[in-house]
Amino acid sequence: MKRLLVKSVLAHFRTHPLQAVLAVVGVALGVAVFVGIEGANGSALRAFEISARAIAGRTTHQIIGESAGVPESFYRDLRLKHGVRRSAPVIEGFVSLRSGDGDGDGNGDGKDRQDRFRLLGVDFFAESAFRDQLGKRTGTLFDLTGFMTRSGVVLSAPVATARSIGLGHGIDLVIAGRLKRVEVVGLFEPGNDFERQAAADLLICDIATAQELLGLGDRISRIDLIVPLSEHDRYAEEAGNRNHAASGAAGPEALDAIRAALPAGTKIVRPEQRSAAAEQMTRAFRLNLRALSLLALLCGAFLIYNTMTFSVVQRRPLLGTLRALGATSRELFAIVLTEAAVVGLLGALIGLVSGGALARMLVSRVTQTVNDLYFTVNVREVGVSTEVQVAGIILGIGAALLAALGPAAEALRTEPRSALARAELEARTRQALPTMTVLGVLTVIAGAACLSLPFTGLISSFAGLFMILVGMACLTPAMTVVFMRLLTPAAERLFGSLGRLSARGVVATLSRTGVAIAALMMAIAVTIGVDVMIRSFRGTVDRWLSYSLLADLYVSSPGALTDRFTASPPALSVADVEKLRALPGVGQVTTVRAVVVGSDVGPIRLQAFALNPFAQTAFRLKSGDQTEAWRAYDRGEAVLISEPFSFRHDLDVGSSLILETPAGDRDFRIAGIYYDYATEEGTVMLTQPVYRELWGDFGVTAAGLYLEDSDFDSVKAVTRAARTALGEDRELVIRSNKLLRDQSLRVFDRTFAVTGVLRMLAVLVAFVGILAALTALQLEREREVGVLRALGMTPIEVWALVTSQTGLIGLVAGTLAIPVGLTMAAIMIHVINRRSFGWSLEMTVSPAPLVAAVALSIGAALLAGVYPAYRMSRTSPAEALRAE
Amino acid sequence: MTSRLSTLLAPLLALALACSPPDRHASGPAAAGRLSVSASLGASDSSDLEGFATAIEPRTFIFPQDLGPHPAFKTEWWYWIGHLRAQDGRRFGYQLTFFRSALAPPPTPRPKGEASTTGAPSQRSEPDQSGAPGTPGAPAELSEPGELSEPSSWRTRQLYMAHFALTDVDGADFRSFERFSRGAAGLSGARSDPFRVWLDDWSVQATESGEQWLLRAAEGSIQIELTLEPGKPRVLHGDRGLSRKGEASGAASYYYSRTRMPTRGHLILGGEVLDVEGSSWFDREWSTSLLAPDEVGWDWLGAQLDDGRELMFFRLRRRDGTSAWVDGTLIEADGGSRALATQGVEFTRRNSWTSPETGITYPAGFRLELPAEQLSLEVVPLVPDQELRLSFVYWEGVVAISCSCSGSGSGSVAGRGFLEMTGYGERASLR
Repeated sequence: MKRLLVKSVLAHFRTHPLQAVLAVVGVALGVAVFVGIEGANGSALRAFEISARAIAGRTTHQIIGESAGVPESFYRDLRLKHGVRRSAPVIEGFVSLRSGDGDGDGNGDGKDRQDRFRLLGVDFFAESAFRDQLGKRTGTLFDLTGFMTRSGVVLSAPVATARSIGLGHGIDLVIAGRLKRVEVVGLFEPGNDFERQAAADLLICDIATAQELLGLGDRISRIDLIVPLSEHDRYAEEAGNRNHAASGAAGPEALDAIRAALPAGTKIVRPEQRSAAAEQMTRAFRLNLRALSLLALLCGAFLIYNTMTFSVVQRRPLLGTLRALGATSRELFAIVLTEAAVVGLLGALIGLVSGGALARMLVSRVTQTVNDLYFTVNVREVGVSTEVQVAGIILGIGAALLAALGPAAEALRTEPRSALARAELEARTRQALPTMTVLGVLTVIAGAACLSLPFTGLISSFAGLFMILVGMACLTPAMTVVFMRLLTPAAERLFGSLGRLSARGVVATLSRTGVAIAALMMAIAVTIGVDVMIRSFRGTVDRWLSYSLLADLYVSSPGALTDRFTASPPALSVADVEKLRALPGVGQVTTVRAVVVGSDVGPIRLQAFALNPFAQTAFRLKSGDQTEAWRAYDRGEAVLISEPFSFRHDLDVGSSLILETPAGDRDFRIAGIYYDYATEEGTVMLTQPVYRELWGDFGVTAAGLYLEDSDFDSVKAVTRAARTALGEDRELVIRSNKLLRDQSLRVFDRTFAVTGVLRMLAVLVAFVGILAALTALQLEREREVGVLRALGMTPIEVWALVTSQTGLIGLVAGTLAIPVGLTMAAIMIHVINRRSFGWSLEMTVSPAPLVAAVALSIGAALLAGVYPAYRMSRTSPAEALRAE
Repeated sequence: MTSRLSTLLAPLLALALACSPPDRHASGPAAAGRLSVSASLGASDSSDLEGFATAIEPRTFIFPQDLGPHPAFKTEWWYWIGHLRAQDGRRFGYQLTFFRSALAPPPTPRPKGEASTTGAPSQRSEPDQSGAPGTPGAPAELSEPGELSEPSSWRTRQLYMAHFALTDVDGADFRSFERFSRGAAGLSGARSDPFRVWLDDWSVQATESGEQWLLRAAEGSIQIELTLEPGKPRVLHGDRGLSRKGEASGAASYYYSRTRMPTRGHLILGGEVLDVEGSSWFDREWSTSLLAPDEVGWDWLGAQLDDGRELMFFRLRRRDGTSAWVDGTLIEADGGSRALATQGVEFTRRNSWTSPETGITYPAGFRLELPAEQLSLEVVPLVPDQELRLSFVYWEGVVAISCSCSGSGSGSVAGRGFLEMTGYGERASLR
């Protein structure tokens, strides 16, 4: 019996290959999107972790400073006074390597590629206990004299080979806007694959070179320590050398002694915390992308449902016969689920492969966003982790099984020999309609409840969103019936009986069309929702930029955004600012110093602004008394915090914030919350004189110039004068407010580029869905069309009938998608965005994207209907009716 | 003269560090591997020495400046060795040495030949670290370090290496340690006034009064803290402090010593604090020179005889064991000194000892005969294994001396000393 069953299944799919292919494609697309997104995200995080781990080496603890690093004198004290010998000073920063014209002969090939490299400044004499790159891995390919007395750098041999860089070559680095030439004095051979990956963006130089290149003054980024502390460390130590077990026991005390001596503004962390922080920082971002990828899978599930239902219905006579031959209903149930599992597995496998390719496509966009918003990471290796692959397969098969449950239940009900008529199925579908509708309403309500729960996490928010979407999809068949009833008179008036026929046909075949419409509706709704959300977001940011960017010109170094993990030198000195102030045509100058400092809520971005009252209007307060807040800010008694900061740390006006300053902890009142869309972490504003007094840091990250005349010519003239005054070679970025605004919006658009790709993929899945549904319909309706043809309908008329029907499907799906899409947008803007990032966004809806969405829906439906229509119009009546 | 050690220093440092395992306990084959690598690069040629001052003619030593560093020269060292006795009679020997080696000559090339006989220019304005921060030379097309911003205080071309060793004579135990550092950022360095030379927390510095030196070093469970009195006056070796190492011009160093410095303090051994007393020997030497091509190493002896005299003797050795160059100084009990008359010198190897760790075979004692001085010294190691198995492997340790001297009267005088032997292993050979 089993063999017979299997044979029958195989035979069915052999005769209807397209169906099987479409089902597999549906799963494959969904899984591919999921795997692609996860792979891209994972690769970015893994790249970060790999470089963090490789750079940490055997470090167990790190002394880090919150603002501009650790004073170098503490390293000396550590060694001379406290006898901590397993310590190493480290400076870490980012530089761009200019390649293409490595010899500086000026006639390069015109390619001026810049690649970001991690510059690691180390003390050769402290290294061997910590890292192997210098020494163990360089072998004899290392010139210590060049390393220490010239601007020598060491890089990995594979990287050097790939770029045709050899020992003794000069390479050009762009650092804080300046071009510096350094000499390659060593090559190291990575010991394993992990080291090779980490070495892909690593440049090692002497700590003196790093300090000079990055302009860090008397500071270093951190001090690495080896202090075996945890049970695990100590165990490892003991296992490694029993004689030294005793030294491990001193770990906690040694650490306490170091801690007691720490200068203000520094602390001891474990190196793993860095990766954890990176993961935490990007969590919301990654979760949002994951949710979008799951939407694509959801569309895929509809597709499977569709295919499986159809294959069951189509085989009804066969299944009846099988029942009559002795197959139990349980066996039929199992066979349908098995089919689904096979489809799911095949689709998932294809999805894994194409997902890997997709990950490679998406990774540059994902890392671009991570670099724009969070921290610098260079991904040179893209891979999909085993966990994600397993998850992809489970999701694929799971979605297929879930989608096949309905059809399988259908098969379970198959009576022996009773070849259930199509009409019966439709009748049953219509009977089920009220139940379905009630279920849909309940799901929507449950979803809404899920969303309205106060203080729930992002995952429940997404769950709520999904429930609402699924609920609305359940409502689709009922809505379709209503719609068609409303449309029938109009269709009849327009197209005569053909119009009525097509409108009724949609309802008559609801078991098919309902699912197709639901799938298309979902995809279009996702398009609308995401589109409206992005437009609203962009509009809000645009408005914010237009009132924030008040100065005519902004001077900063390119990449002035502070990377939380690395030291970045101030772009400008006090003298530079004075030079700018003295330029003819310059009215006022505002400056900001952006640093990361410690606080009672962890490391925070601090912006120390020197603002005039006019410049203060660039900040709009969300809460706090305007006059009072600025007065307290100016006096340095209070800080202002940005909206995401307030959200993230649950701080409000009147709360207090303790900042760790070199002069000890200082308590600041929060006087106001301002709108700010620059970072999702949020920022804290402190008046510059107070910052300078407390931190002793007189650097300036960026300056804004207010010109006496802000017409094009004077902006240009002042730009030129500023460049001359500051030094031509500085390559500082001087931007007009318009340019800065354009660039900011470009970063914004880049951020949502991934979302755009995902949206497209969702539509693609839906398109495949509708194609599958219509093909199925066509195959099923061969006899019906045969009858129509026998009654005298011309092939053209058949074609018109099918096409108008698909057009109607598109219209219904598109129209229904509008409210669903807007609901989704509202949820994303007001719930998910707030819970992810804490921004207030103003929802703006313009008709254009809605119209476009409906047009897309109809277009997709029509396109998907082309082939089925063609097939149907060619149906020979005799052929179709022969079975009767 | 613990001398030529330094001629190997600069290139060797790089390699030693490069190849040294993160943990000390790995030696044996690894160490042997290190050895040969260092040897291959140890043979630095004279082009490495270009731009450095060389010791060609006698100079006037100026103090305290000449306690401090001489960065115009490639290498120099501050060398303390001493014999200590605890209250319970246990005998110890210690060594604490600071080596300076320049990666590159100072930025302004000085005329070849003697740097200065006055000593003043070579002191220049570097009372502290021997490095000249921020002024290193670099090829013109490269970015000058320090050009972007202020020169980093880590910038230097001076490297420091330090060795610390302790011999427990009665316990027949010997331990040795090494450290490396850049001569910048306060991590290591030397200065003349107030005198201080240090690397991490190993240091020797003048006490507040300036009369004594405080010597401190600790590693693991071993710690010494000693106060050294000046004792006998300074001795200038060779020709008024110009100590020749060969016929070639420039094959010489500036070399002076304090040969008997009363020492007291304490020694901490595995938690046990011992009050100790004894006498130390301080060597101070700087130069820019290499071993001649046919020389493989050297033997050096610093002997303190019980009759109040001291004797410094060294010979540069050829591969076949014969002496390529011999020199020494005899210091009278009253502090007067003169060069040893070395005509007819005989240096006879007694037994031999093979290191179980490195496989290097050293002489286990010598008989030194100086017929022109009517001196005959029998030199016997008090502990056979006093091999410093560091990045640079050599033997240096406490020896017992019995001397049949006809010089100042009586027949036989006992004494103690330190013996240094290098170049007995493959790696120390320069060719």
